[in-house]
Amino acid sequence: MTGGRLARKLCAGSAVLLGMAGPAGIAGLAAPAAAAPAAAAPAAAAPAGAPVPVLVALGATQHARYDKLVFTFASALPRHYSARYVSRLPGGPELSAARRSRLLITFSRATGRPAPGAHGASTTYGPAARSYPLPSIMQVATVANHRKTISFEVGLAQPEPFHLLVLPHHRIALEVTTPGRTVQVRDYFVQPRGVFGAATTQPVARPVTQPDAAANALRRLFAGPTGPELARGLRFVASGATSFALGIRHGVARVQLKGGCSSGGSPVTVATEIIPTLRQFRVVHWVKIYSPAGATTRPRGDSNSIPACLAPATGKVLAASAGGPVLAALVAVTAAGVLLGLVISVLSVLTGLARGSNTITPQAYQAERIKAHPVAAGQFGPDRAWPGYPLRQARADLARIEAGRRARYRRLWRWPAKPIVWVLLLPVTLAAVVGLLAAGLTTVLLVGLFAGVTVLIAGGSAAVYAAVALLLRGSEQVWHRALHAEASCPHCYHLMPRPAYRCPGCSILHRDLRPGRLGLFVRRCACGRLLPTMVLRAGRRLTGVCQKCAKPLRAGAGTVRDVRIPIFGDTSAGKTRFLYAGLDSLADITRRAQIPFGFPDDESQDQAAIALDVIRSGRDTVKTSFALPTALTCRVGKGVSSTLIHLFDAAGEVYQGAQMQDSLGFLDHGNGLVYVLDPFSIGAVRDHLAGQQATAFRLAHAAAGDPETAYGEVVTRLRDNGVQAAGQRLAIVVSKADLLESGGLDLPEDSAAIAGWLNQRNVHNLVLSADRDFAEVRYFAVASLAAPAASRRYDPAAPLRWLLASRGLRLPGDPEAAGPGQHAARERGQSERAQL
Amino acid sequence: MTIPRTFVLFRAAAASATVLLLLLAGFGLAGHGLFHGLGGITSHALSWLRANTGLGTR
Repeated sequence: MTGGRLARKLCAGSAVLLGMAGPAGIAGLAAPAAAAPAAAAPAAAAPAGAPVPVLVALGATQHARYDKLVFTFASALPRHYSARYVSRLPGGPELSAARRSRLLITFSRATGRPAPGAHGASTTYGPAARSYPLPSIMQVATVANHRKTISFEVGLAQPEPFHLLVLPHHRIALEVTTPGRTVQVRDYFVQPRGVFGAATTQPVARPVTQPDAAANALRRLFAGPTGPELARGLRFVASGATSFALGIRHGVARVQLKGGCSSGGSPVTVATEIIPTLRQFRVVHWVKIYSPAGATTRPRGDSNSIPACLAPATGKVLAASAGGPVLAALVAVTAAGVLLGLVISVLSVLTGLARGSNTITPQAYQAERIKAHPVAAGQFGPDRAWPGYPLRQARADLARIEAGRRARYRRLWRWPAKPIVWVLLLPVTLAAVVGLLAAGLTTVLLVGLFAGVTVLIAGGSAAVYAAVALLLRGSEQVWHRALHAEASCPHCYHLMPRPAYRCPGCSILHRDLRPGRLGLFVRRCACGRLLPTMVLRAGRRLTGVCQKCAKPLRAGAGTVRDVRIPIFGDTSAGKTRFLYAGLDSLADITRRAQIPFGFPDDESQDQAAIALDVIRSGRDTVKTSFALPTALTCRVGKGVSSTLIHLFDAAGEVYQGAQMQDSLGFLDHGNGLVYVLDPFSIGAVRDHLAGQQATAFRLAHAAAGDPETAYGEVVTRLRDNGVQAAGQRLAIVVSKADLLESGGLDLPEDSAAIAGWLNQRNVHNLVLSADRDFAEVRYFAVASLAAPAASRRYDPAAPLRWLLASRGLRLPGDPEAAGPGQHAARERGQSERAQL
Repeated sequence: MTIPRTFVLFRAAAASATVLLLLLAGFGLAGHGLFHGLGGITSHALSWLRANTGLGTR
């Protein structure tokens, strides 16, 4: 720095004089110092005769725009204190221009010496000299500590404005503005007890200003380690030098030591610190160090150079030079260990992933799941399919890789010779141990990295997987609820929320095809075949089977609206004929309305063909067998908006025995019931027709039993099985209306009128019971004949349509939407009963 | 027994991601790429080695 620049800096900086009347009093004065550093006049702080203030602490801190050095006194402040830039320290030589960034702070009538007789440190405020890694304040050193005067030299990075101020609690602070911009560099200090006891160097960070970063780095180096660095054992080996002069040209840094130069025979000298400190700068390729006399051993050429005064003694060189090779060998062994660890890690990962022995098969996963969640009676175990990779296989892979890593690494520790050999070859043993430890650490890190990546990928995938699965399940559930899309078995009458599906490849059952652990959109069966998940998609491609009896369900079961209508009544009441005629009528109605009508499978088609043939040919219905009925199923509508209608008809005899009734499961899941009442079984009707209309009576094949018996048996069964009959509709069908008409008894068509007609013929107990047991009861007069529907009286489809309407299926001419003549029966029935 | 393709995909993805990370770290230690800040560690280590194995003191 030139003299003019320094002078300008010092003018801008100036010293500050503070005088106070009390602890809070602060006065600042900037005194220009063009030719000499600024000076400060003292001010009184403690009254005369008071004890001499003792300096007890000294500390520096960094702030946003300034560094602060705080002096803490016990009990009182010194009477006089000042700070100024100096060109010469007391008793010292004239400082060079480059070193004129030094402040001298003096406290008069103050002491830093311990009381006479006290043991311990020579000062009351800690080390006499200390360094700070601050942008501005580099070093604080005690210059004088005697005759009730303490002086400190504060080395700054460069001359900057400063001021003194008084703080509470007997403290005086020096605030020095920090340089505008600094960069971090490394200073290398000596660690006397380094690797294997040999001295090493360790870098520490220092902020320096630019330009002249290299010179500033050396200045920081000469300032020495900070307190914490000293505590770590770092030392600055000065080799007698007190300062330096630095010049850098053509990649060669030439450092001339000043103040002294002596290695003392040690191989560790100030050169050990200067060379790495300077070579961190790109502009420095070689460092040549000169003695104060200007000599060095190799002043020319591409090499580093030290002066003869820094050359170590031969013995010490030999002792110190052992550290380098040992360290190099250590590094080489460690590198070999790292390489070995890399090989082990790669082998462990590759074999762990490639080998099939750790694959979690569908069978194994199923067994695991069952073990974790035992299957209770009446429940089904999990399906046998491949689990999603993130949900199970990822864990198995990582476990396998870790097991492989451990096994391989453990093998490395098997020593091929007797222990005594390794004890004798101790250096080799130690090197091998270091290499193996490095290998072990490397395997842990690399396999850990792979595990971390796998966990991240698998965890992320699993989270997305779970969210999508929940979404798909939820949407399917909403669909099912909206459509009443259940699946009912036409054979065992089991009602299930979703069918099971048989794999076309291996025929094993998949009972729960919902998106989940085994697949989101598709799942892979144990046989390898891909199956669609979700009932809506599976229903199109797979055959649904009953969860209970495993027999095939009707096509589309579980995906469309499902309505089940049981028909019951006494023997020969006309149930089967009513069913056939109702089916014929439904087919006719839907055909005229151009609504698709059909049968979901061949079995239903065959059943329907027989039924329709009997009705349309006018032949008598064959007596229904005692075997439990298989539902006759028809489909109304097309696609996902269609409806499967299951009609159940059992022989009248099965309603009469308690043992048989236990098997009538279809009654429990009905969406409304049809009770067929043979009017010819009513005593009053028989009496009316006796003798007069014998032909009609004979043709009717009248039911012999009491019409109330079958009704009572069914209602009792429903009640015993916990079925809520009170929430269902009951259609009471008075059959054979055509025969009654030919016998001279005309049945009304209106529901209430039919109820009244029955009451007049002493069937009022049945009417009363039905009204009490069911939510809604409607009466229909039916002629189970094939007739042109347009002019059909006693339509056999009317009861079915009324019940279908309750499940959301409305057909043209729906009795629900018909005129006031066919209103809900409860009110009418009640009014009729009131009349009676 | 045929292992599902998703298993192979997941394994390949995890291995590829690991290799990619290692490469990035390697480049970073060399002072290049996304993790170029790691170059400071290399420089530091090399300086330390140079200073402590006798290479830099003569």
